[in-house]
Parts: sequence; C-alpha cells; structure tokens
Amino acid sequence: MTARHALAELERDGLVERRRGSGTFVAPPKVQFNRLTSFTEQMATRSLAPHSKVLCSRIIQSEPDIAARLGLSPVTPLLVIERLRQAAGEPFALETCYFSARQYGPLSRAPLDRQSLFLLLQKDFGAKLAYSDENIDATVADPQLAKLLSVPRGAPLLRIRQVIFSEMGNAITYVLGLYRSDRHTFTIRRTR
Amino acid sequence: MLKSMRSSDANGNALPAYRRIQNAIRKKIEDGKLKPGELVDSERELARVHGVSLMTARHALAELQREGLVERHRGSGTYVAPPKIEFNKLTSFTEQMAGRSMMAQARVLHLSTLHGEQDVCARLALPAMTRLLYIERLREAGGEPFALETSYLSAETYGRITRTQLERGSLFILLEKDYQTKIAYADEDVDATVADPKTAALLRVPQGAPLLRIRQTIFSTDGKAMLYVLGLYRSDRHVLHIRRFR
Repeated sequence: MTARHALAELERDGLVERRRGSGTFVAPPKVQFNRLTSFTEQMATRSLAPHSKVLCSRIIQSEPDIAARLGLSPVTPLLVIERLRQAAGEPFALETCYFSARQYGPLSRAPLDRQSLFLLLQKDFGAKLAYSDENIDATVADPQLAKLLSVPRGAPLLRIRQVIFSEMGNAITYVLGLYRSDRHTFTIRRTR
Repeated sequence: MLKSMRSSDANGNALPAYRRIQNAIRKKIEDGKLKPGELVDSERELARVHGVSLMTARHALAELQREGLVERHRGSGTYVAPPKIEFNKLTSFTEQMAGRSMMAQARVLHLSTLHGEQDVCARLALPAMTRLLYIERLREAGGEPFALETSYLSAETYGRITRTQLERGSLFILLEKDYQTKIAYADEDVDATVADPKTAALLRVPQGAPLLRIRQTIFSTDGKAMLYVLGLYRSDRHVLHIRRFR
C-alpha cells in the first residue's frame, strides 16, 4: 500500500511512467519549450533529427471560426496542412496549420516533410514572425489520434491552440497542436 | 456582399456583422442578462434579429464557442459556458476568482511537515533533508472543485502557517502580508495528465479525465525560491492563456 502510494506520487510528478502489466519505468526527458521556436529548431538544440509526415495538404472553404481567428472573412479559402511530427522515428505531435490560401497557397508544394515551416515562411514568403497567442489545455487521445501518435487510447495530450502574428500584427497562421504529454513539457515564466 | 455584412461601431469603424452579434451576446453575458447554463438565441433567431444570413449567425456562434464563451449541445442549442479560468499573469487562485466575482474556497486536505523530499528541496534550493511544510488544498469556486494544489515551503521559515489562515484566504497574500516577502515570478512546467481514481473523486470528474498539470516554483523579488506547487487543474474548466515572443 505504502509502496504503491510512493510510485503513484512519483507518477503524478511525471518522474516515472507505469505500464500496465510490465512495471514502472523512469520517464524519458521531456522536450521543453519556452520561446516561440519551431519544432525543427527545438529538435536541433537537442541533436535530434526531426522529420514530419504530411498527412494532408488541401484547400478548404468556409471554416468561419478559423477564418475569424486569422482575421479573414468567413468564406476565405484556407490552406490546411496536417503534419505528424516525429523525432528519432517516434511520432510525438500532430499539428494542423491553417493559412489564407490566397497568400500562402504555394506552401502546399513545399517540402514540409523535412523543412521547417517557420524557415519557409521567412525565406519564401518574407513573413516576419513576432509572437503567438496561445491557449493551452489538456485532452485525451481518441482512437484515431492514439493510432497516429502511437499512444494508448485515453492517453493525456497537451493541446495548444496558437495564432502566430507577424511584426505588423497580422495573423499568419492558426495552429492546433496535440502533443504527447509523455514527451512534452511546456516551460514558461510568468511574472506577478 | 461584404458591404452588406458590415455596420459601424461607436467610432464609425466598419464592424463585420458577426462581430456585432458577438458583441451583443458578450454584453448580455457581462451584464448578467445571460448566465452560465442559459440558452443563447438560436442561429435562426440571431439571423432574424440582426438581419443577417444564417451562415453569418453560425460564424458568430462558432467563434464564441472556440473562445469558450458558449457551448453548443447537438440538438438542443447553444448555452452560456461556465466560466473558464484564464491565466496570463501570476495571480493566485483567490485573486483570479475575485476578478470574476466568484467566491473562491480552499478545502485544506492536508497540512503537515515532512522531510526527505529531496526533489522538492532541490527545486527550492534547500539542503536535501530540510523539513518542509506540506499543504494539500482542494480549490473550489461556486461550490465546484476546480483544482488540487499541493504546495511545499520551508518549514523553518513558514512553519507557523495554520489551517484557519489557509482556509480563509490566498496563500500569496498571506505570504506577502505576514512574511514580508514579495512574490516576483514563477517558472512553470506545463503538461497534461489524466485523473487517477483518488484525484477523480476529489475533482468530481470521471477517472481518466484530462487534467492540466502545472509544476511551478515561485520566486521572491530577491530571487529566492520560496514555494513549489504541483497543481492539477480540470481541463474542462481551465485554459492557460499565454503570449510567447520569437
């Protein structure tokens, strides 16, 4: 009882992971965020080779709520790019990005499986990324997400909804990211 | 077509029709004419009242839903959502609740001292065997549990804190007032977890429900770590709202 309590608490702290039927393992170190950096940039600092699988890249019409987040009229065609982010051959995030199709349409032909989106935006579109407004909460993996991210159904995921703005204050992209919580910690500093 | 969807705001600036509708709904909520759990006008009703297309009315509601201001229940309509707590500054739970005119309550589940918590000591930059004050509190608002917070402080410095003090008000204010410390900032690790049976029962959520986990070390203005908090927050009631710069 006491031993179980000890392990349960370490698990709550995120220090160990318990796998049903196989035991308790020391949790692998987590990826840490603190600035608005791209996934590729983060991975580079940890000498991990990043890779993405582009699951979908298409134009959609009338996603009024997403258009609104981007400050666009409700019927603006949007380019949607869905990428499975991987490091060391392991999937750890599913990111869906939305752009104005008129402005960023050519991105659909860009080599997003191996190139940083941030870099492409800066280099090919002259976009100057300045800041992002983010909503962070928790959710659990539904069957489809579980399969994509190689986690059990019901596994905790960190959900980050961000709008990335340019130096001019224009919304460039809206990103819905679902991150495996066993591989991601989001690090921030808040001041009083 | 765009032109017909626009009107002007108080300054004469063009405002899209969906924004006008949103503003009208927001105002009703702010004025207390619409309360959490109450039904918002349907798309059809909004379209009729504001003289816009059904599509525009839908757009207005969809965005309010994204913001978490309303919740749509298939087949029964759109309701004012229970308030979510948004963070962007380091404020105590009690302060956040006061800002939303909600009564914050804390139920003290544990108050004791312990030692041998080496990991926590390290986070507080204390020797490994330092005695710590251990506080476990269930945070409630409007009679509903929101969060389970476990706090650790140096027992030598803060050992005189009592249960009554903790139940009465904010730990931040207590520290600032009674201990002449000034809280400056917190370094936080944020991730997601799911409710284990004990946490689920305390927070009144199903086992396996998603929880936002925030581990924070709180520093005083002189740069000393004074408090380590492990917080588990119901994700259906909490969004962490931040801005990051490149």
